[in-house]
Amino acid sequence: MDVTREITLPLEPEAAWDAVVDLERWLTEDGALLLEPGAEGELTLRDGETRRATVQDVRPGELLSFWWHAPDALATLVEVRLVGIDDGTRVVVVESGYAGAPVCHAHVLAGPGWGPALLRLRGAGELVPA
Amino acid sequence: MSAGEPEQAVFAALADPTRRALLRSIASGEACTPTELAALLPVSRQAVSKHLALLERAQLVDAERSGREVRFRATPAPLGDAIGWMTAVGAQWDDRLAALGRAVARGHGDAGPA
Repeated sequence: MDVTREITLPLEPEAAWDAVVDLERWLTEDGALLLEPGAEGELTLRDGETRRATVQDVRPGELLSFWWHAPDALATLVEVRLVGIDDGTRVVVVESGYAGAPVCHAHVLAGPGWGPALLRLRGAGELVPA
Repeated sequence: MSAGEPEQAVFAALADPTRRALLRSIASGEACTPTELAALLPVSRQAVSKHLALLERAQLVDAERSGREVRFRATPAPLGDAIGWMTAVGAQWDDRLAALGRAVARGHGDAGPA
């Protein structure tokens, strides 16, 4: 299940991208993420919560996605998509649950909350709780 | 506000259309035993049992074992919790994107308008 929210910025996609990747201006209080698939970082959010994040996709001007999880919680995927329109850029954020997550993220998803049973695969890379 | 195990279990349970159909049938009172449910849907009795196990683990249904047949009933509280989580997360993203909008409005260096 997804949560989707968006905002339109009065900027070209390239400039909107620069604003989006400057996480401390809108998303985080502290912490940085190297913009490289697989890069990991510890983020402190504006409400004080901390998240461990792993970058998934980086397509400048188009898409930034990362998995993140609070301590002892499961990971969710955050996808920030940029869509150029006539008078600006739509910034569309989708945060989605783990159902259907790719196999390579099992280490991110199998956090302490799952316990020893962990995960098993079903079908083409779909992860379900054991 | 990160999704915990219960919310994730609910999302996983409801991600499958057969499971959604099973839950609807149970909640509406149309059917409540694995035999009745298998008769309603184009899936095997074994598949129904697997789906029901997942729904039960997500605490979306409750199983009462009496004699030969198990009777299921819908227990929607976790669904309410999951929806509550989605609402709260939505509000968080509204706040963050508003902050992004303000940061951009305050001036973004040499980036010009579209």
